[in-house]
Amino acid sequence: MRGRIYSVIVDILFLVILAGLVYLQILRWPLYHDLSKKNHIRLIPLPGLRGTIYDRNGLAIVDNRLSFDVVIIPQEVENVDTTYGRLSQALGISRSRIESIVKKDYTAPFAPITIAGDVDKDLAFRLEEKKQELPGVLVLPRTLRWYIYGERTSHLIGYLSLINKEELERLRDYGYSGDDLVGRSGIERAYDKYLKGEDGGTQLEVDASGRLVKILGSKNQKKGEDITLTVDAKLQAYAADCLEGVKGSLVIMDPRNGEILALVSSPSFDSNIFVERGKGEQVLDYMKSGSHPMLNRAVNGQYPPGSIFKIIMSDAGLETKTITEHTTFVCTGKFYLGRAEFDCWKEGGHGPQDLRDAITHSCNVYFYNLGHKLGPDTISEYAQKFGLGRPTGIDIAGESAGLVPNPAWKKARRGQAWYEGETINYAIGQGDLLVTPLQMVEVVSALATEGSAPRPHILKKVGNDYVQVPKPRTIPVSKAAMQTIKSAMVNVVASDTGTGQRARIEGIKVAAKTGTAQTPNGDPHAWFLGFAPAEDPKIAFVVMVEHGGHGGVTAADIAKKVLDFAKDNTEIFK
Amino acid sequence: MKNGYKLKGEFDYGLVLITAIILLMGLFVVYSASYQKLVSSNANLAMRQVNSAAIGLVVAVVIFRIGYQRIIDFSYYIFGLNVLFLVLVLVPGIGDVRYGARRWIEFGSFAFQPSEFAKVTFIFALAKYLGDIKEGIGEMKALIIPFAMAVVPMLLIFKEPDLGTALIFVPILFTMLLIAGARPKYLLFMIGAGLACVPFLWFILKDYQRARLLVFLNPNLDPLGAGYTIIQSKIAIGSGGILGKGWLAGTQNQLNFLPERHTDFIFSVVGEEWGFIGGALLLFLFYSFVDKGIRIAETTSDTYGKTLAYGITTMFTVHVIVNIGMVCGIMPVVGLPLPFVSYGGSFLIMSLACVGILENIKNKRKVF
Repeated sequence: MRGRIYSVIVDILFLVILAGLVYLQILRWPLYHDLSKKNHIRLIPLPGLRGTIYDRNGLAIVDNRLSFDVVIIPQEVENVDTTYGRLSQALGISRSRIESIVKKDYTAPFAPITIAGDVDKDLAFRLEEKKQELPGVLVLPRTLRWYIYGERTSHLIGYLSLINKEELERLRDYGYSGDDLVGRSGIERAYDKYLKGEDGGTQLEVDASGRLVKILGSKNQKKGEDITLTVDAKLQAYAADCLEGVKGSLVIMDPRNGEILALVSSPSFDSNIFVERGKGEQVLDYMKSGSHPMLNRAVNGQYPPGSIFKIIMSDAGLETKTITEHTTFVCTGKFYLGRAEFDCWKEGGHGPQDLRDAITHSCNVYFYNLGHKLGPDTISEYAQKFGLGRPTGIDIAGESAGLVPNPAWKKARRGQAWYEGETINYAIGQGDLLVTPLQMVEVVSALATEGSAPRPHILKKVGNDYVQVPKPRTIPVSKAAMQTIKSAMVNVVASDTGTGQRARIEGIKVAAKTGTAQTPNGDPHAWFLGFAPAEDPKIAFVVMVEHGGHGGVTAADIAKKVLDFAKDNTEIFK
Repeated sequence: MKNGYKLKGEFDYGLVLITAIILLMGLFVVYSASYQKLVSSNANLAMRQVNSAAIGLVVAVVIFRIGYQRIIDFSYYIFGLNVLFLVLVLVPGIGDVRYGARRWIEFGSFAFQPSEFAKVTFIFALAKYLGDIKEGIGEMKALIIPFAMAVVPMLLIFKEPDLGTALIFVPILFTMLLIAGARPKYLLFMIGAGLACVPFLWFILKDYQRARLLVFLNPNLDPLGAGYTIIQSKIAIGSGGILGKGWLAGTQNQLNFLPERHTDFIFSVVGEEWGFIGGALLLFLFYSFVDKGIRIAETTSDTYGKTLAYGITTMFTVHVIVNIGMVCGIMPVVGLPLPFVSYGGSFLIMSLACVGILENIKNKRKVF
């Protein structure tokens, strides 16, 4: 009897175990199958390099360079005391700092912890030589985006940072993943899709301690496409140097086709900071700085144009036949509108001025008279004709539109009537009118080419293929009017009474216009724009210095230096 | 030989065949488990297992020749000697510490675990006692000596520490007592008294033993520590599926994810590499083995032989159920090896000797 009970108990026990096997091996097989796969397969990502960015002459502006990180693999460290001690000595950081990094970043005994990123090459090699003495300390090479010109190209090129959640959702289908760096501004952002490399990876079979058993397969990483810009790196760098220490911007463009040769905004930031590890503080400094180094003043800075607006005024006068090139106004230094008094910048006045004189001397009274005759609607019509009040369409995202005011706008926006006095200010580029330096370079290009406004752009080639550029926009202006204004602009520089005579270049005839835009506080903004050579324009330029005082001095001096450099050191004028 | 009886002289070829198949499977599995040479510096574990099997075979034949009845006569002395070894193993300098436990005694190049043999010598001694006392077992006081016989080696083995081997004395003791005719009422009383001691036992347990019990309740408590083994073992068995990954092809096994896979966790290698088919086959072979043991016990007319056969059968049953249950995660990890499969000389020799004893019991069966 007891034997039977015993048999039954044994049967039950074996059945329970059999049920356990059925459960584990048949019912839960998919789960455990998956778990065992994950258990021993590791994916080592091979990041695809971003494409190199070249200037118009084939000089690299942005490349990738090898950097060296010093890492610790916790389980391989034999003696924590000596290892940390010697590391602290070699790297010049305190032991407690190393300890806190290890504590903070520890994930698994086999996972490397970066102690110092991008260390000096010599130091990396020295540590590598002492490998035997410091088990667990490794020097790992890593490729870093390298902005060769640092601060001098950053507004043009932009910077990279980790992809954020929304972007990832949007771009996942395009091969982006969670730890990708994406372009944040400038060229890096605009052409991210070309520049981005294709990540590869190696599937490894590892054992329980993470040691390599064999390579299961690998997908090669692919470098992104190299791109060539329209920019002349040497000119860009030199121009950036010329603007150092001031707040302002400079744009140089080929007026014939819209190729940007240089685009500088100052102060600037170093794009390299964003890809190097442990530089978060500096990034924060940039963000918080009162001088707004992250602001691209060339495309996002909106300023009153001041006297440079007079070239548009002149065209408006000629096209509408309100004036001819010979129409003369007498400048007494003052202009009266009812009881209101408007001053010319020159005390005592310029005397009788025709259009060429008025441009050459930047006579305000002449343009007060002209503006008064034209009225605000005509002025705004011509401003818009030249492309003001809307983005130029340059391949840098987030470009500002500026503002071209008129009575309708004022009524709609502020619910106020337009005052006549505003028209007088409007005529000399003051008041609500706002332009960006980039818009002004387009205006001056249209002038230089006598009516064709090209689309400003920075990208020249993707790989070996030239990019298609939209045809220049034709502005309905008369060649005669253009030629009149151009000849006056030549006088601005060439005449001994011209406001821009400091920008004379030996051997090249420069046509220019100065601007000194009043601001509610501080010194006026200094503008200087023009083109050269006057008879066959190859470059159009705008220099703008915030609170720089006289355009004919501060801005013109910068323009002269840059033009001199372009003549002597680049192919642009050849 | 008394008149009227005649020796049937039977031999159970089936039992030997089953044992041989299990042993052969075991050798292949041990070979696979030690294939990657990560288990031990001396990687040729399968060969050493073959050596142990050869020794075990000789021992089994010798014991079969001697006959269990003659051994029963000396069983108190043998058991006493074994207990002495259990004491010696705890003496520093004599006992050899491995894996943090003092379980081995070395004789030159040969090391053995007295605890493995203690199970069998205990079974013999208890069989003698129960056979001697006959009907007297129905009384309460007759239970005192069996309990004392179990508790002494249990405490010594527990001290080594080897929880699994210590605990196996309990089911063996109860089975043999019940088969011999002890009254269940008294045994239940004993169990009640034992359970009352459990809270105190908790304090005697080593930290790692407590951890193992807690981790049995929830393996994810400590996935890299005590729970690691059980999680990896379940992954191994579960991922084997129906057909398995093939011999030497188990990734969990070959890539060193399974600690102790050549000893206590050997079944996870079976499950991973040979799948449900292999695992169920092995389980069926063990079931057949146990079934043969029960038949031998039930068909013998000798009281000594019957309790002895039940003791041995119970020992195997508990080893198989606890071991496979443990690697499948349905029993706590108490560290009982899988008979004929787990790597380990002492236990293999002892197991084979037990087959010799079972055959001898069957062989000595007297029929009218």
